[in-house]
Amino acid sequence: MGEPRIPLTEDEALAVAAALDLPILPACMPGVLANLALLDRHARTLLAEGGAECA
Amino acid sequence: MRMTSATAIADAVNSGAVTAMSVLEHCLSGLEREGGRLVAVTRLLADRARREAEAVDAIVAAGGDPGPLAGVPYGVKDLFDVAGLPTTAGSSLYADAPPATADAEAIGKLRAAGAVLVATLNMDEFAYGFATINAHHGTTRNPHDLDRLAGGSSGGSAAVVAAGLLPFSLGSDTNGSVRVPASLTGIYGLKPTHDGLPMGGVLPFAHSFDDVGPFTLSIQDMQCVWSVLAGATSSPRTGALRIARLDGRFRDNADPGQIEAIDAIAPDAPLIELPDIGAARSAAFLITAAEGGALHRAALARDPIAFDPATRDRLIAGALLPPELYAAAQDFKARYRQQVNALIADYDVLLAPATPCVAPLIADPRIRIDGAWSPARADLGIHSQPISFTGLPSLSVPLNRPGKLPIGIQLIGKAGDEATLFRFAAMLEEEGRIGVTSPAGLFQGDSV
Repeated sequence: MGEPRIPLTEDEALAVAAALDLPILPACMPGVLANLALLDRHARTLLAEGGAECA
Repeated sequence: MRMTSATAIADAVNSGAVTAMSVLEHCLSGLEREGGRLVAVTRLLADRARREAEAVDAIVAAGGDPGPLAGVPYGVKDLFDVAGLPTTAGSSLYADAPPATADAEAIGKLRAAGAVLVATLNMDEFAYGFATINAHHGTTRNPHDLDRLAGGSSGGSAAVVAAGLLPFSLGSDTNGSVRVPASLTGIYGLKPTHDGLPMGGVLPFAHSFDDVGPFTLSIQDMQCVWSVLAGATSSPRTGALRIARLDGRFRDNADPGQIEAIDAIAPDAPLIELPDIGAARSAAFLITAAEGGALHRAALARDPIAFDPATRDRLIAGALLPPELYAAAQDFKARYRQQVNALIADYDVLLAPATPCVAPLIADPRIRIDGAWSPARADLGIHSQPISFTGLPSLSVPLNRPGKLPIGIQLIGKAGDEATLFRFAAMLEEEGRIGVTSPAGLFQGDSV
């Protein structure tokens, strides 16, 4: 199975958030995207260096 | 009066040399006089504390034994349930929440041992940070230099103890929230074996790693508070201890004083490298983000403006993580713990830095990690987070270096073997390698 995608754009974040009934205020979006980018870097480290796999 | 020894206060109260009430009144006046400039106290519980002190004095007057912490004042991080008060976790979001109907389990155990709860203490909102930069209460100051961070997220709990305003306090440690501020303020701070101390009535952050942890000014006090909370005493390993020094990223991102101290403590100890340390920290980061995001998702949807913006954005991002990634990180954790336990089977204590540097300036809260600038709030836990990932107990102890800003090292032990960490720390304290230095020019008074 391929790697799960962390939402990294505004559209992607809004789509995932809508599915969770979690509105994101426009003022929050830059901070949310910056944190998603950081989490994406950690996800890549885990999958590449740790050999972790997603079922 | 400096509140420097919990066990000395308890002995004095138990023997009738002083009353719990007189200790408390000194303590309250100190907190009222000095607590403000530290930005460490969120609520002073004077009425409740007087009732508890009165009860202790009544037991002593009747010839009874109030317990090993008789009349010892203490405070708790703002996320412990205190009966009759809302549990706010450093946030304005729950300021009007229904009051807790009972004390947190840890507070109940301390009360049964005679301790007197005096205050709730500042923290990063919902424990998400290593700096105690709190949008609602303000940034907690380091008693050794008021222009510097005290660390976090249990920064208020560390600052009042380091300043000598309380002899001990409780924080919580998920990824380093006790060990980081203990290191930066120069006191002792324990992350127990995961699930080793009672978490009932403590607002969670990331349940995979959350633990209650005490701050103290001596190893004797740490052992006493830990025994009360654990409800047990245990025996340390006897004979010569087998020590190892953690290598790799731990030594690459350390203060020279930490390396010098570790090498002086155990010059012949092998240098060992934990495997996949970067992946372990990343997995811890992802699990924490996902669990924190899930925990606060409903409140984030209902009232996002009430959150500290920095906390809110981190929590929202965590809530958006794919569940498969969280599951992969948990699978990795299970395998990693087996691997690390096998690696350290031949050692009793591992030595590692507690933080990568001394306390950063509040005006410039950045630190150097792997040669690049990084936000202190997110990354001061670079050395504590991978140890949380293992579930092993870790005691941050202050290096004895008067005249310099404090910094600590971690003594990491086998699961359930805090007693051996205490034995080793007591030895280092006796040799003068570790120990607390009072902040210069601040909070002066007579020691208890």
